Amino acid sequence: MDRGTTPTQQSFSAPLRVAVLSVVKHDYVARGISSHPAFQLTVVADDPGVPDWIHERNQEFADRMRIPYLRDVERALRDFRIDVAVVSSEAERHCDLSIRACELGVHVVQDKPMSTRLSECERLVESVQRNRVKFLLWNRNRLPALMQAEQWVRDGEIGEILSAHVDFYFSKDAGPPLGSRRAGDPPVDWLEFQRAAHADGSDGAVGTVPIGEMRNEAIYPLAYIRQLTAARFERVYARSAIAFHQVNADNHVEDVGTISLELNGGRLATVAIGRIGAASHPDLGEIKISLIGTQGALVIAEARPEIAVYYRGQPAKEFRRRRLTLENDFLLADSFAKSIADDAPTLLDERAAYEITATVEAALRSASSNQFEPVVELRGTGNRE
Amino acid sequence: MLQEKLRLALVDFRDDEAELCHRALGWLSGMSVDAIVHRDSTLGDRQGAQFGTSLRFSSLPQLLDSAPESVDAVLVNSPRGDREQLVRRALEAGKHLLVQSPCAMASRAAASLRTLAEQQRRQFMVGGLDRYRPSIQAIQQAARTGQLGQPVLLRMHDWRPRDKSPGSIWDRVTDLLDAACWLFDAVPLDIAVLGQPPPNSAADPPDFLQIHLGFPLRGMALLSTANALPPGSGYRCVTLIGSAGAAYADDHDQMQLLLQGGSANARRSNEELATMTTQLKEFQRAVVREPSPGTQRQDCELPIELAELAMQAWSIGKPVRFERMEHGSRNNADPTVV
Repeated sequence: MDRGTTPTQQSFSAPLRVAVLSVVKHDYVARGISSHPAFQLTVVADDPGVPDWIHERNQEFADRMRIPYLRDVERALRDFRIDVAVVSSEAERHCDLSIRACELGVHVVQDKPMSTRLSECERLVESVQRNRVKFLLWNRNRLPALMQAEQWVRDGEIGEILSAHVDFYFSKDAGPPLGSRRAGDPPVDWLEFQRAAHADGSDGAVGTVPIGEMRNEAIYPLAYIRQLTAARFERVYARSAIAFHQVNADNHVEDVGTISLELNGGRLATVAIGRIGAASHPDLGEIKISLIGTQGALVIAEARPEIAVYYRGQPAKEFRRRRLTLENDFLLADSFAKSIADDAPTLLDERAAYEITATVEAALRSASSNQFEPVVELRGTGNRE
Repeated sequence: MLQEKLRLALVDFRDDEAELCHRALGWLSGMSVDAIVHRDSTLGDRQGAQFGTSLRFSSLPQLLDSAPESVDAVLVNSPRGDREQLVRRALEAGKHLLVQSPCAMASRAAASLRTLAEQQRRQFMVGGLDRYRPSIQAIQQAARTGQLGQPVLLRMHDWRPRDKSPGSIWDRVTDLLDAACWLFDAVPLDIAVLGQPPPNSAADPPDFLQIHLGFPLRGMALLSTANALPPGSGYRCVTLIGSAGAAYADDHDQMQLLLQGGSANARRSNEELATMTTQLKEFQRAVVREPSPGTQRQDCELPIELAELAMQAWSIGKPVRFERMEHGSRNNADPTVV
C-alpha cells in the first residue's frame, strides 16, 4: 500500500499529539497508531501508585520511542497538549484511564477488552458522548481478508446476510497444560503468569482480574460479525469449558467456548472460540468467517493472503505460514484520523464496543445458566439506533 | 444361505447414486447388483442396463413376490416417508437391509425396525451418513486413537442448495447429530436450536438451522445446516478440537482451480465415490460376518430421537435436556450440567 500523503494526513496542519496511558501489555496499539503520519507519539504516562513493574514497562517503552514518561496522567495530558490517548493498561483499568482522558477532551484509542465490568463500559460511553470525543476499540477489522469480505458483501455478491459464523482459535499455549499441577503445588497466580508471558506477547489478559478467552478475545469475532452484518446482538446461548491450560483452571476462567447468537431482523450467528494449545495448529490458528446470504454464501480465511516457508533448523514455534500485507494497524489509525477530521463514527466506537462487551457478558451468564440470555442494552444514552 | 456373491437390489436410486454405486462395486469384489427397483420405469431401465440385469421392478413388493430368491440384500434410497414400510417388508422376506438415513419417520418406528432385524437375524444398516465420508472417518480415527485427547469442541457446517422437499432439513439434522455423537463417542445432554425460514416466507419451515449441543465432560458442538444456497455446490466443514490436538476437514481447503477466463473457478476434490465404497464395504462385512452384533441403538433410532428433540428445542425457543442415558457404549460418564 502506498503510504505517501494520505487524505487524512492532509486534514491536519500538524500531527495529532498522542499520549500512551500505560503500556503494560500490547505495545502494538501504540505502535500501530504511530505508524500513521497523522499521529505523533508524544508522552507515556501512568498513575504514580501503580506497581513498579508497570513503571518499568512504561519507562522501557518511552525510552524505545524516545519520548518522556510521566507518573501523572492528567498533567501529561494537559502539559503536552494531547489530542489522542492510547490506553493499553491492565483490562480492569482501561475504562478509568479512558474516561479521565475523555474528561479532558482527549480522543481515545483503547486496547481490548473494553473492560472487565459492564458498568465501567457504561460510564465510558457516557463520558465519550458528553465530551464529544472519538473512541476506537482496537480490532482486526482492517485485515485484508475482512476488507475483501466486506467489499463482497457491500457489492451484494451474496445478497442480504442471513447468518454469520466465525471460528476464532488461537493455537497458542498459555503455560502448563491442564492437569499438570502436582499435588501440593500452589495454584498458578494469574498476574504473575501473565507478566511472565510478556516476553512472547501472550500477556493480553494481564491484570489482577482473571479473564477467560471470551472476555479476552471474543471482541474480534463479534466485531467481524457486526461489521459484516451491521446487526445488533439480541440474545445469546453459550457453552464454555476449561480444557487446555492450568492457569485457566486455577483461576476459574474458560479457555474455550461456543456462542449462538440471535441478531436483530431475524439474523443468526455463531462463534467458536478458544486458546486451544500450540499442538492444535502449525500457525496462529484456524480463523474463518462463513456467511450465508439470500443469494449465496461466502467462506473467508482470515489469514489470507499468506505464504508458506519451511527450512532446515526452523524453530518449532516459528509459524510456517506468514501473513502478507499486514496493514491492519495503519488502516485502523487512518480510519481513526478520518473519523476525527470528519466528526464521523469510528470503526468500532464506544456503543459498538459496549454492545460487544454486553454480548460477551450475556454469553458468560448463559454458559452458567444453560439458558438463552438477553444482551443488556445500554441505559440512558440510547444504544438502539 | 448367502451365495458366493452378495446379490443386491437397488431401490429408488437416483441416477447419480446408481452411478456411484456402479463405480464403487468396480473396486469391491463379492457384490453385484442383480435387480433394480424403481417407481420410474425409465430410470429403472437405464440403471438395469448400467448394471447388466434384466430383473427390473416397479416396486419392492413386486420383486419380493415374483423373484424372492434373486437377491440377498436390498439397498433402499426411497423417499423418507416410504422407507419404514419397505424396510419392514424386506426384513420380513429375510433380506439384509442398507437403508438411507433417516430410516423411518420417527425414532419409535426405527427402533421397531431394528428389533425386527434382530428377530429375523438379518443385517440392518443405516447408510448415507456423514460418518462414511473419508474425511470424517479420518477425523474419527484420530480421535479414537487418542491423538486429539478428550473431545472438547466440534464445529460442523453442512450447507446445500435449496431443497424444498418436505423434511429435508431435518433429515440433515439427523445426519449431523449422528456424526456429532460418533465423533464425540457420546450423547449430548443439552440441545439448543435456532432456525430461519426462507426469506419472505416466515410461515415456511426453516431452511437454516444452527444446533448447539452440550456433551458430558463439558464438551460442546456447534452444527449448522442450510438448504438455502443457490443451485450448484454446497459447503461442508468439520473441525474437532480435542484437549491434545485438533483435526480440520474443510471444503475451503480442498478446492482445485479451473481457469477459463474471468474469476478462477474453485472445484472441490470429490469424496463421494470413496464414501459410497466405504459404506458398501462395511455393509458387506457386516453381512458376511453374521452372526454379528447387528445395528446398535445409537446407529439407528438415536439420531432420529435427537432430531426430534432438536425440533422440540427449536419450536419452544429454549434448550432441551436429553434425559435418557441408556445409550450403549457412548461415553456419558459425567452428566454434569455446564
